[in-house]
Amino acid sequence: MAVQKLPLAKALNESLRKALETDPKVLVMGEDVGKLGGVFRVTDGLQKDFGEERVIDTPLAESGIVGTAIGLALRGYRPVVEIQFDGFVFPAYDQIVTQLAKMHARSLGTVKLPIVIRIPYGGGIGAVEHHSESPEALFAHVAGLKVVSPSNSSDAYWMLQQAIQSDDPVVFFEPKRRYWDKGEVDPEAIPGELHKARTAREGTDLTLAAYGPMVKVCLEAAQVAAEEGRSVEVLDLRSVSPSTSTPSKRPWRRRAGSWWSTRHRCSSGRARRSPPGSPSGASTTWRPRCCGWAATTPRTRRPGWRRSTCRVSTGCSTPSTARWRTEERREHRDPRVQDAGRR
Amino acid sequence: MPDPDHMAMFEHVYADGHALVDEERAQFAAYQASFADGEVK
Repeated sequence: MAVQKLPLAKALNESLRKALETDPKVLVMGEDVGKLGGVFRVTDGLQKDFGEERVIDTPLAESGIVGTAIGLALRGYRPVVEIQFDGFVFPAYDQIVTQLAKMHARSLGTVKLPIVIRIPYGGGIGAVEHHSESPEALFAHVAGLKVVSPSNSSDAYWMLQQAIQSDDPVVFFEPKRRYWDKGEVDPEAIPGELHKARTAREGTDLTLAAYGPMVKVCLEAAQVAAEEGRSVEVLDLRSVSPSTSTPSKRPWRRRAGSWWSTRHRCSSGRARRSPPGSPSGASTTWRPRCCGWAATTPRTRRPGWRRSTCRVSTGCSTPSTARWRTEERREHRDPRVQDAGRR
Repeated sequence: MPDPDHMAMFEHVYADGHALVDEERAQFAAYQASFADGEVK
């Protein structure tokens, strides 16, 4: 395949095709993925080319689909499961959180479950209830899972292959609102790391951090801001969890009584109660401002550690009074916090 | 049955691993070391 301008859905199709060609253990399974080619045509033509035993039409039973994938992964396969719409994932939630996320730790590393769960998500296509959810936060806070979301065709092509090659379970959120947006895909390019953010637009006055379908919205907002004389940086987080440090080099700035660093909207266009990302990686507190969220003074969040809780770790992984006091004393030595206190 | 080492809770979170888990392991090790008797409170 040469460099082409492809819709995001077609980029995913090519990515799956490449994965099926490369590794005979890769399977694609889900509702209507075979004969129909998927309701969004992401799996179009794959069953015809690779057969019914590798591209499998499943019954309408999400819990069973994920459970079957777990069984196949235990036997050495690399299942790529499609959940037809975001709102349909909830019957499978127990299988994903209780079994898929925890099996590796439960077996002390003996068992690997290299499963990708593809989920079209987000609003903006005029769909009804159950078809416009944003459930990524429900998975982002589960240790053992990796949660990613591409925002463009190139990332969709490469990130899906990287997710399939990963030995960890990956929940792959596909922005359905962007399925028909075209972007260049270069099959010879060197892809970025799966869990690393990228700077989509450089800027100096403000940073917008987003993932999935909202990256395009933020880029459009940054363009409008540029026409008004403001320089806005846009970060594409790419990985919801685990997330690495964002590449923004812009320092915290004080503006109108509060510290500003990032303003973020969730994929459905409504302001979130809390920003996405790894709960251990977040380093700001947020408050509502002008239909978005603005960072206030940079504080350190100290949730539980990113691991499944067992009998021994319950006491250690839960934030304790002593731990909070330790962090509190450390923050009081933080010059940024001291500076804010003087203003 | 004896309790395993506390640091073992950071093992096998991911098959491929991640820098975030390494960072948390280091944070917990530093926190554990901050107690005079080494016992996490």
